[in-house]
Amino acid sequence: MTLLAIKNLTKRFGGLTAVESLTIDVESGGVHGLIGPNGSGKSTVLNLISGIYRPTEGSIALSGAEITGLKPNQRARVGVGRTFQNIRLFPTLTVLQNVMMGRVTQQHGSLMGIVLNSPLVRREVKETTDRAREALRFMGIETFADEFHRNLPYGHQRLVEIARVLASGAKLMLLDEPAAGLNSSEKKNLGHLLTRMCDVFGSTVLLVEHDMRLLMSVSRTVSAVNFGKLIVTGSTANVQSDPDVIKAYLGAGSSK
Amino acid sequence: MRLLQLVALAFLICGLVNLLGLSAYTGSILIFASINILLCLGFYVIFGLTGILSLAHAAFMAIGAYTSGILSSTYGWPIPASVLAGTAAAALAGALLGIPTLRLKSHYLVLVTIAFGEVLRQMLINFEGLTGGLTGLAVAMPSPVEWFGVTINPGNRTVYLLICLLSIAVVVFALDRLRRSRVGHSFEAVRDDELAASVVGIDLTYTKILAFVISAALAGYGGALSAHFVGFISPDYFTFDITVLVLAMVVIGGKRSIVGVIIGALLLTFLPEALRSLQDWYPTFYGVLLLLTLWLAPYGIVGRLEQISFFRKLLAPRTAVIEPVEAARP
Amino acid sequence: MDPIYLQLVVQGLAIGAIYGLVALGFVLIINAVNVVNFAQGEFLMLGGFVGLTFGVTLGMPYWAVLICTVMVFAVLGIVFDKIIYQPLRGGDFATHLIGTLAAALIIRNVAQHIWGPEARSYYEPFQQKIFEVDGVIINPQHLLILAMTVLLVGTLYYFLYRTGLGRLMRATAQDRDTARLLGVKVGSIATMAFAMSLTIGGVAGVVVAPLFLVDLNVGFMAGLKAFIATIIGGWGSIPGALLGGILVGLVEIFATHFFTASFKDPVAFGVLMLFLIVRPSGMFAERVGDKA
Repeated sequence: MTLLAIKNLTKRFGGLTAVESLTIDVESGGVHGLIGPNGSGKSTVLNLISGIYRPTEGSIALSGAEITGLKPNQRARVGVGRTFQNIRLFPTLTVLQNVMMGRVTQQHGSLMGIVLNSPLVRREVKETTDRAREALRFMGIETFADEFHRNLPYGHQRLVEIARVLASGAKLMLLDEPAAGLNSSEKKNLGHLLTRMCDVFGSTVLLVEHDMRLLMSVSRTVSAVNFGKLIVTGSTANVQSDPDVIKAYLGAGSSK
Repeated sequence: MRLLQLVALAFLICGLVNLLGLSAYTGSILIFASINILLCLGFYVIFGLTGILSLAHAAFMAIGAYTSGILSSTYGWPIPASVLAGTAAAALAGALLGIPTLRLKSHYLVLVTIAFGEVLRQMLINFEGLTGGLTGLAVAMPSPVEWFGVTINPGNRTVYLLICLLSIAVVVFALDRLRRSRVGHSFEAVRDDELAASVVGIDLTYTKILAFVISAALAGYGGALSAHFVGFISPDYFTFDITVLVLAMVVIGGKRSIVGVIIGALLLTFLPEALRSLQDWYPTFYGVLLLLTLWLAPYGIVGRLEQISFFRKLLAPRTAVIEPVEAARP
Repeated sequence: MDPIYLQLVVQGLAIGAIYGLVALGFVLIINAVNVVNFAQGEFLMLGGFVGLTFGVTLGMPYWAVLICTVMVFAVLGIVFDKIIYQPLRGGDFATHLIGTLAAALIIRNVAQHIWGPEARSYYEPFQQKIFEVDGVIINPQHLLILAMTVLLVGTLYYFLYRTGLGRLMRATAQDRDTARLLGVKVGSIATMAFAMSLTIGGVAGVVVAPLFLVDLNVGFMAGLKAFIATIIGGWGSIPGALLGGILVGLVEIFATHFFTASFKDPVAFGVLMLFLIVRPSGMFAERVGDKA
């Protein structure tokens, strides 16, 4: 089943075309890798899907429902979650509170309810806390729940951000270079976590990652883009042996 | 903080004041201190929690004071109803000012909010028929009420003080609950990273306008309370200087903590009274105090105290006064 | 055209030029260190009083008053930089705003102690020499203000865009760290900018003083209007500051004419709101980084 349908997506900044009539379908469940040389438009695609940019042309649909015109917070509500290349956690909130913020759209207790600590609010807070702790436990960092993220090692901060998306129960998780800045054992751990996440929670991940070994080991399907255009979408093996993909990488002078 | 404890504290303070038989003068100072605390709590919500520097606080006070004053004096509304109406009017003004300023960058927002305050003040002067213009307006003083055979006279200083203190108790309780809830965390998220906040699912428009509304309502309530205590209002009471004073209280006490802004309000209410001889130098005094705070304690007195472990425990659970630091990339 | 309108235009130009001059002080600091100095309006007030002391109390000739004012304010600018700006360098927008607001409080209070709380009248260098052209009454003081404004704007524009030092200043505002890496003495650039900015404010104060009474409270409103001019003109643009100032001045004078004087500020602020909604980047948008 198609979860995310991107159709003829185009984004121009002034005269520069960052993404050009891109069409990608992301199937529900598992990791879908998005690769391309530096500056090929991968980050722009993520920003378009999460609503930070408005597309110049084209449409984006989640589970068949059009989301092209929605604001980022509205997209979060319908199930789009993401992480950032440069970690964006809230500095004055604890790790647990940060992860709980991932579920902000699922809580409906009114202001009055919060002040009076109504049964609804109490139930929501408990559920949110449980879900957040579960996500942290899954990531193996529950012990840091009450720490501030800046006191955590960099690799753990990445995991907190992923936990925030996981706890939100987003249908589609956009991960923007989650392995950047991690050492090799942290990368290996991340790979396991991503695979397990899809198995255990049935998550769907659209993964942008420069570490090819990691990306290829976790992805079920891979799309390769260059100059904002789709080269190919296919299984990892097919994409890796695709002559156009190889040319794009070698041609761009970028090692893998 | 439990509501009951706070209410008990309010009664305790009031009882002490009564027991000590403090002078009318001291009673007035205590009432003004309480009103200042309410004003500062409002400023804390928008500036400390949400990070929006809006300098229209005096304007919201004026809206609360004039609405309540006009409704009670000219139209004969009972004072509790007129005070509520004043609070609501200020809240509405907060929402109306909030909407067009949402997209503005910080320096534009500062300008628009200052300008709003000045325009409002000149309107108060111009619409003489309603507001009394420059001469001001006499405002009804609260009259005694009888509840279940007990006569309560809010015109009595001690009773008025009790009303102010109970208001603080309720507001502190409510704000503390909000601060620790998803709403308070949303305020902080918007303050520190708007983009991440909206991607997580926080509605920026709603959150910012909510902060404006809460802040303006508290300012309006404080303005109305002071109007009915003094019995007189004029545009001169609501100048930009008042906003600057509230800003100074909040910054000096600690903008990111409820305890902090209360300390700031108390300090800047009582210190000038203790230093009467320096009266002519008050603005310089505030200015120097502000500069010292900015240099030595960016998060105010409470921010400094929190770095001492004894006080950290005292101020527990946590007042969110940590300094945001960019995550270092290895 | 009805001479009355011409008259209003002349007046509006003169008032607008004053706002433009104060706005120029803002723009210089924005260009050099990317900070809004909320004490800027107070220097207009202070300039008036300093001019009063030199011109009336000490009886100096006008040209000497101007020279002495320049010297006094250049020194004040260095002091301002050292105790108000430098200690807070790198702080966010709110920090600098609160710091400069604190400075404004102190300046106004100290001025009150030196010169007293009453508004004072200032001597006119061109006493009684008002002349008439085609039914339009022209006050030479207005002309002096306009000439002074054009001169200062021209000089400043030349300095910032045509001299090496000026370019360094603008480069520093855009990227402080890179400028430092390239060997720019970031600190001295800021000091110089404050000295120049305060000098402009002080001289403006001397020049406009004969038009009004010298008053303690003139700084706040003038500062506010000049800030509006800065925004309408385009953040950090020098010609924009001047044109923005003139626009505000004209709006104000015509509002006074068509309504009453008490509506001039609401109308001026209304125009500002309109501008912010319709064209938030101003008439001449400059690219000054947004680091505060």
